Amino acid sequence: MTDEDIFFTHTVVSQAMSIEMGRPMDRKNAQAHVQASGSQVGFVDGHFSLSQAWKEWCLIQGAYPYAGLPRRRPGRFRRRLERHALILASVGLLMLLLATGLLVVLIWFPDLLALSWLRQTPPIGPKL
Amino acid sequence: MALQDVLTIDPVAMNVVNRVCAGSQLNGEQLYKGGLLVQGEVGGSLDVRGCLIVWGGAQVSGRIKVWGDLYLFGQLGLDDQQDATTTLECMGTAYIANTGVSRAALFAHRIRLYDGAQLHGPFKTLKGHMGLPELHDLVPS
Repeated sequence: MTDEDIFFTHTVVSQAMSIEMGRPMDRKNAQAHVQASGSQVGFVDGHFSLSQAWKEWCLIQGAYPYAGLPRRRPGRFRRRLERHALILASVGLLMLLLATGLLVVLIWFPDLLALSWLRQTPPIGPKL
Repeated sequence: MALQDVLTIDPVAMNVVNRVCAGSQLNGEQLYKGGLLVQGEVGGSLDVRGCLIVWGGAQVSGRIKVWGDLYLFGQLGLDDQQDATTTLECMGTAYIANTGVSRAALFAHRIRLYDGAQLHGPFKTLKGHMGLPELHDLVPS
């Protein structure tokens, strides 16, 4: 696809979206499918691959072509995290900047903060 | 908490380059090179060289051949209880979502149903040699 094709596909057809499919009818297989973990090695040809659960959720979700493959709906906690991901990331970045600034201030201007009492504290121990 | 599935539809990744909007009605012989998203009503003879996504509230009828996967959220077949004039042959996997209704004869290589899906017509899984070959598949001699 050229950039023009991608543009028209996005504008005319749709942007990427997620839609609920419901609960799989073979629930036991679905649970086993989701709970299965680890790697899968073919004993005949030695083909190695990650199990479906890992492909879907953990390691290479961004790289794996998950489009078009139904996957388990994220739980309430994860959906809440994803919904507020931008706020959480912003708060984390802000805290990192604040911590860095505080560290710089502590290093270069120790007297500005109320840490001067550290220098005035008498040494602990018996006076000689 | 019941296990629910979600489907991520990325038109670029899935090569869904055709769309029939809601309110549109198409009839006749149609060939789609690439996937098709149907939100209106489509009938006739369809040849979809990709995946077919039938949106909720949409309707597809006639003789349909899908070379990719089928995602059914709407209705397959006419409003009769069992539409004998509509057949769909899917070379991939047919996903019938909880809102999907199939009143037609459905032939698919694999089929996956979700709770709430309505099947009023017959369905049949295609044998291995009738579907498209996958990587590492051996062609029977």
